[in-house]
Amino acid sequence: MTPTPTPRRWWPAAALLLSTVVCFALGGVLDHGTLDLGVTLLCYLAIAQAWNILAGFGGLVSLGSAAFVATGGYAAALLLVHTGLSWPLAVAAAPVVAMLLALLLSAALLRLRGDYFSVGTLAIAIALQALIRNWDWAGGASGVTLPVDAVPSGGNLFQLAVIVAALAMALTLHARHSAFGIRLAAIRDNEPAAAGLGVAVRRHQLAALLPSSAITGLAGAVIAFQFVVISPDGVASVSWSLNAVLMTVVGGTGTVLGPLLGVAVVYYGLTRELQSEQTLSLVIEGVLLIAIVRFAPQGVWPLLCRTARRLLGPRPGTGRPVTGRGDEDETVPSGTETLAMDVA
Amino acid sequence: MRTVRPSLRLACAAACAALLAAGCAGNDTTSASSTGSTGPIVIGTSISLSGTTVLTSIKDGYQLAVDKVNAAGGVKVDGVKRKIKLVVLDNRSDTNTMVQQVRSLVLSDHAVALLGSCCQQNIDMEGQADALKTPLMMGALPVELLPAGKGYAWDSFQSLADGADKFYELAATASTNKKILMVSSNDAQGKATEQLWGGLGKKAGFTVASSKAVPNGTTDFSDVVQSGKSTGAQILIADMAPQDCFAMWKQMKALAYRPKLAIGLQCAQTPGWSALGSLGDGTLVQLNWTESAGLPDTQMIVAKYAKKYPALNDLGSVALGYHEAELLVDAISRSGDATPAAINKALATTDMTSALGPVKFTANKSTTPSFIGQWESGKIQQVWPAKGAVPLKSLSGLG
Repeated sequence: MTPTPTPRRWWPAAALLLSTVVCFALGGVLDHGTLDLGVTLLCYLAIAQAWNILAGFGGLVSLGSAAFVATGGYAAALLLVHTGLSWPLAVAAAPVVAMLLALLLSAALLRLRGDYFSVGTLAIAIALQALIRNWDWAGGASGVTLPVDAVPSGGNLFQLAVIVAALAMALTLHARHSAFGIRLAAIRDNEPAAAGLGVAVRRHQLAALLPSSAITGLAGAVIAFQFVVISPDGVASVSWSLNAVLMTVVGGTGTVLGPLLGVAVVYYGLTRELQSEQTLSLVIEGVLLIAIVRFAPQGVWPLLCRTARRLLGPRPGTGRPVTGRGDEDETVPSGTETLAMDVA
Repeated sequence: MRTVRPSLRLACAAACAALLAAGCAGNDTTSASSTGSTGPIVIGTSISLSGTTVLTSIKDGYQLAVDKVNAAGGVKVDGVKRKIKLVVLDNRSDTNTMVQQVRSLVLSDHAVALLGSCCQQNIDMEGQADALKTPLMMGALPVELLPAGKGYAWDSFQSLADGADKFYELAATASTNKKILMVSSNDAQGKATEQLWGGLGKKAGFTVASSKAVPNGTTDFSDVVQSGKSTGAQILIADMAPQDCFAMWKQMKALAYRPKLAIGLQCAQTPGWSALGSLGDGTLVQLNWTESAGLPDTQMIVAKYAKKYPALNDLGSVALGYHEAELLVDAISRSGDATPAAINKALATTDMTSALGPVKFTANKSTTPSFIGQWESGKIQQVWPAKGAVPLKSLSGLG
């Protein structure tokens, strides 16, 4: 059973706000290399969290993140190149276009269940890549080169990435601690039961899909600015989908902090630090994924927290050991149970 | 309702630290810049050493040039001899990885200049060179395909037009009906090849009987083969990714399409072509280097790498990498202070003879000579220009 939304508290939001302010301020003082690494990590974090909202909280295991990265990236790039729009407006347009695509596809996608949904989203990502590859106005297979002087870079790009990642974290916190999140988890755990308790299934899934795609599209725009040249093999690569899944699964699906840890482990720990040992990096990635699926299917973050609680011993005043999972607690009932109790 | 547990507070604190660490941490920021000191000058490359394209031979060429300079004490910059440090990263043939690595090379490893990869990756890399204001010396991209950028990318390689001229000169000596089936990928290189080779073919008295653009990754070429058969084209010009060419050659054999001449641009240059076995025999290939052309440093390249790379095309790739690195090292030595801007300026005034011949840049491009080779029993032999060439054989693999 995956973790379930818990009641809203003020301190996670405060911690997020504080982290955002601190990181935003760092945009003016860090060196170029660190800023660039930060942009990459924050974009991955936003994409992983967007996937987490959909799959971890909503049970919709998507392999279509790449489609929304591409949509956001190309929307921002094409607006810059073909209309001469300023970059803030191009960035603002990216999530709108991504949401429109999600809305368009939702009619078909949200009728699919389980593996069929995953395959459907993967098909969309691949089809979109093929479409872009053959779309001359979008540069075809060679892609589009953005005007270097017209896009933000360095500290400005980092601050933009901080905002995008903070939005993704805020949305995840909302899904974690709101009534909406409880209903979404109820659908994930037992859709017929949730529907029986009065949850509008399609409406809630759409309400998860739209902001998730918007955040992914927004991250796509930041990636386009960082890459300068965007091509179907780059921003439309299916590897964005796979990385989103890998990072979230490694960190912990359905948790707020799991994807953060997953991004740090997978990108910073394996990809970046082992970039001169690519084969070793790939092998470790594979072994890690297998080990996690086998021994810690909830991810590393819940495992770490569970271990920490065991080490800390019994919870004061209760006399029993604490064995919760991550920032979630096994004593919390599933989404459907929570919803049933609320209804009762 | 639950109460806030101490462990959750701990988790929150850890998360804040992790957010800061993940978002803000970076590589060693205290590492010395390679500019403005007497330490080694860092140059970097993000190149495909695994995945769909393996360019180990080009990387060996880079290393050969750097080792040669370092063995002589380094490159003289502003009166001081400094060693060159070449940082090579494998981008696994993945564009996203390549972009991230290039940025890391310049921004974290402080590389003052970059060496290229191949083909479309070079086009993607050009944008990074311009954005990072760091010179990028590349080959393996026909000079016509270098996009107009901000002037930080330099391409010294063959020209599509020169290659086409050489091919048509050779084709004119063969007995064909001069009808061409042209199959090209629908990317920039494919489109440019279709236009240039098609246009020059007409000028040389050939007819493009059928022209097909296919997306990378195409596996079914039956309609392409059918069009070749129905138009009676006896000359095949294929400009595609290696795996696409492999699939098409197999289908041509299966569907009994037997052109008299076939050239595989991009694809037949790769080492993997020999894996086609006898099916690849007789296929023509465009070469950038041959042992018999009398180019500088040929003996050194052959002596050092002929065992590792018995095929001519691979040795040509070593020569190409060596040539690119030579040009960059020359520019570094003339730059005065080895800063990216100074190196970029020095590249513009390059006037030297490298392993691929004379180099002088015009609009960031310099054309190197083209040769036509032919596959036979897993090896390539030069068949054009006539000097140093063996006689043209039939396209026996498809016969």
